[in-house]
Amino acid sequence: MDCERVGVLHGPARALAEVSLSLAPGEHVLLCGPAGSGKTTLLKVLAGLLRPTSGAVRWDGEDVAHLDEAGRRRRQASLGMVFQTDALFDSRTVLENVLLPLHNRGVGREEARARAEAALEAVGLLQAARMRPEALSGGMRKRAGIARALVVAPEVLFADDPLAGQDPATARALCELLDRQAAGRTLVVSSPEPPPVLTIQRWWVVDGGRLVHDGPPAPALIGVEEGT
Amino acid sequence: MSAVLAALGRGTLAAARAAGQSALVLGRTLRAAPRMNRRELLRAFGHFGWESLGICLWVAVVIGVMVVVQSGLYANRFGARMALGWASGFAVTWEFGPLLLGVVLAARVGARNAAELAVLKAGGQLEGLSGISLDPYPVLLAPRWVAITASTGMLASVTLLVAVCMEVVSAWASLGVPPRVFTGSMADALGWQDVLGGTTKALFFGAAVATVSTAVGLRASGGARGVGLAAASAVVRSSFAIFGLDLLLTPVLAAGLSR
Repeated sequence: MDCERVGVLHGPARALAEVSLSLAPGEHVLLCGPAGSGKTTLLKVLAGLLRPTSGAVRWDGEDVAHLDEAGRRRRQASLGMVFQTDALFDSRTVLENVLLPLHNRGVGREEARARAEAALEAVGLLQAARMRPEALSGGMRKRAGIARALVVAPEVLFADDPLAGQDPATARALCELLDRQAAGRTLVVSSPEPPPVLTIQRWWVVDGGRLVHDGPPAPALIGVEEGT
Repeated sequence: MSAVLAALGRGTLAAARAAGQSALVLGRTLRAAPRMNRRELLRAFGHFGWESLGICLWVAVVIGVMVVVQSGLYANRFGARMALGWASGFAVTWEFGPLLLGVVLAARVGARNAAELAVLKAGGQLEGLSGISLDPYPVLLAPRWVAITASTGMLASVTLLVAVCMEVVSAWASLGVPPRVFTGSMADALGWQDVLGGTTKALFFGAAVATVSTAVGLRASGGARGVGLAAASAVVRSSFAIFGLDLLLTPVLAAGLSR
């Protein structure tokens, strides 16, 4: 997956400018920067949820920025996305939410159920399968969101600020969960600061819509002391 | 003068944009309908159809009584009590029934659909569907559209039947017209075409409410204010669409069904 001189305009405001980067299979990347720096926009562009105003986004050499809806969905089938707002449907049970990504994928009912239950078990939420998301705590909702992303066995997992609004203990537990589930997968996590525990090999730091660092962890760049 | 023309131009552009958005939503919904999620369809039928039955029955009672009381004034003045049955039956099946039902459902179902979609959009759930490579149309939007449209047709049948029954009771209670005379006059002049015409109009009104409220909900932005605006806008635009369709459909259906 790579981006070449990607730019995004939100009305007159420039959300991303001239961002070029590449992502190799199995890499674990932290996308960080201050609030409003363009982290979520870049993550959405990489995941194919947002069409860039300029530049190219390639998955296996195919420019996804110019694919039609059906082509984009076909490519997205190998991706999992954990949203900042968890994006769960309160009108459905946790199990139904996790089953959603398997809709129209040719997965049989029994197999879909087994996969959804396995994903819920992996995040420790099997006992809450029949509950509605509105009855869950913030941390449990995040875990349900992670289970929904995992149920399709994605090759690439994107997580948009998964620790937002979580207390330190829940944040640590979520990081351990993400770390376990990201083994053998490509992972891109956006967060304003380095998450605890998570194994990260590479940092992308964005500021003002520009990529200002692409390389090994550099805590000093975002005002965090080494080792924290 | 130029300010008036500019305002007129802006209004025309806004109306054209809204019509275009609704047409796109309708096209994508109809294309997705064969693949729609059946469980969501059942849920939507309960949500928009079954839960609207009570208010539709109230509308039926009000229409039945109102039409007979108002027509009765003229029937008494011109000594045309024998014609009260067909006149009020015609008014309810062709005009008042479908129109009032459409407007009431625009307020109840249209506002609810638009507000819910606006909340789902603000909460990221609609984007979330795209994030798990799902098209929101077959999963969420087409079931709602089909349920709202079909429910309106079904509710119209019940509403028209109850409204006519209320007319019979109301004519007997307020004007002393015997039910046999009233229904006889109605049966002489009204046929299945009239009931079919009214129900078909209601079906189109339901489709208009479903299309407009979905388009408005999908375009909503912002938080509570955006949701409120979407609900209000769905009611206003759906009502305009209903009045416009009423104007077009009445002569077309009347000509088609009288052949």
